[in-house]
Amino acid sequence: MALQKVESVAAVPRVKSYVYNLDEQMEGGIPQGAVVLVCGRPGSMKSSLTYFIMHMQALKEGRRGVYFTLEQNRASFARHLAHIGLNPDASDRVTILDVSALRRTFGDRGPKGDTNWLDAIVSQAASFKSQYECEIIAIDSMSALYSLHEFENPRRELFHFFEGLRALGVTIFLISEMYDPTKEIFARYEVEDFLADGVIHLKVDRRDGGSNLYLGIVKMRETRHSRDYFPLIVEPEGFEIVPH
Amino acid sequence: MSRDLETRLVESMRPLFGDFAESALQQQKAKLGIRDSMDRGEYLRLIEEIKAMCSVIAGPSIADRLYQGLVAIVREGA
Repeated sequence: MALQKVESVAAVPRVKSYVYNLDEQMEGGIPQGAVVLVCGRPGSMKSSLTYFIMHMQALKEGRRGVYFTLEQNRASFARHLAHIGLNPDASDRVTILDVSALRRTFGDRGPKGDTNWLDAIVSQAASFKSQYECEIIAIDSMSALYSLHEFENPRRELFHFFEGLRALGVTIFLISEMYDPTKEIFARYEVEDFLADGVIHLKVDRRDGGSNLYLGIVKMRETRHSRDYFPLIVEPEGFEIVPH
Repeated sequence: MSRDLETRLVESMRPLFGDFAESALQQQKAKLGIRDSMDRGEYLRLIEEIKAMCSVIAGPSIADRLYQGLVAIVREGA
């Protein structure tokens, strides 16, 4: 039996990245409600790029967001953002939520000593969304979250974690640190990129004493996207990729 | 402090304090030396402290929104 041609597919609402030249490479942006891994080695600007997208969404489209930082404290992150021209106080629509401060004050084990951090973060995100109506959530970082959670069955627990996030119905960015420079392993358990709807990879090319940044869209469900890696430039006005 | 009122305050804090909302409230009560029976002035001192703590965790703007919500709960319940 021949497959029937699908005449029309409803347009997927998109969340623009506002990275100059990038949205054109993925049908106008990230599908609304997608869970996206933003991966890269240390210094690849994962956090900065993610915050930039949320910041621009807040400024240009009024979308509220919450950025959970699990290790870097809020003041330090804000200073870093200011250093690259992003002023977190320019909009009150993106909340940087310093979970690291809560950890320092109350400890990593949680109030009852047995906190399941995967569930706790999903639950707090749901609670935040319900009370403050946010549309974009970032969790920085997966490695920090993993350091707090004792896995018995990573694949199964991560499946439920991703499903819990997806059920929130908002666009989610998960910052994922890559450690092995010789392999393209996008997250620690090597299942996260299967579970995610999208994977954005930031690559640092260090040679001859210098370093260049590249951005590639490895995966984006419901999207025809370029698979090339593009030079990523950070200007005072914002981020930009250079198409071939 | 009315148990119901305390529960409502904790629930209102949950989006910003997560699982630590109850601990944060109890910590601030202890810091102020507040016991179970409280007058409106003590409630307001308590939520001022919670607002200050929230400001460190999530910034002054959202801390102010939380504070307004806590004030409304206290006005209704105290």
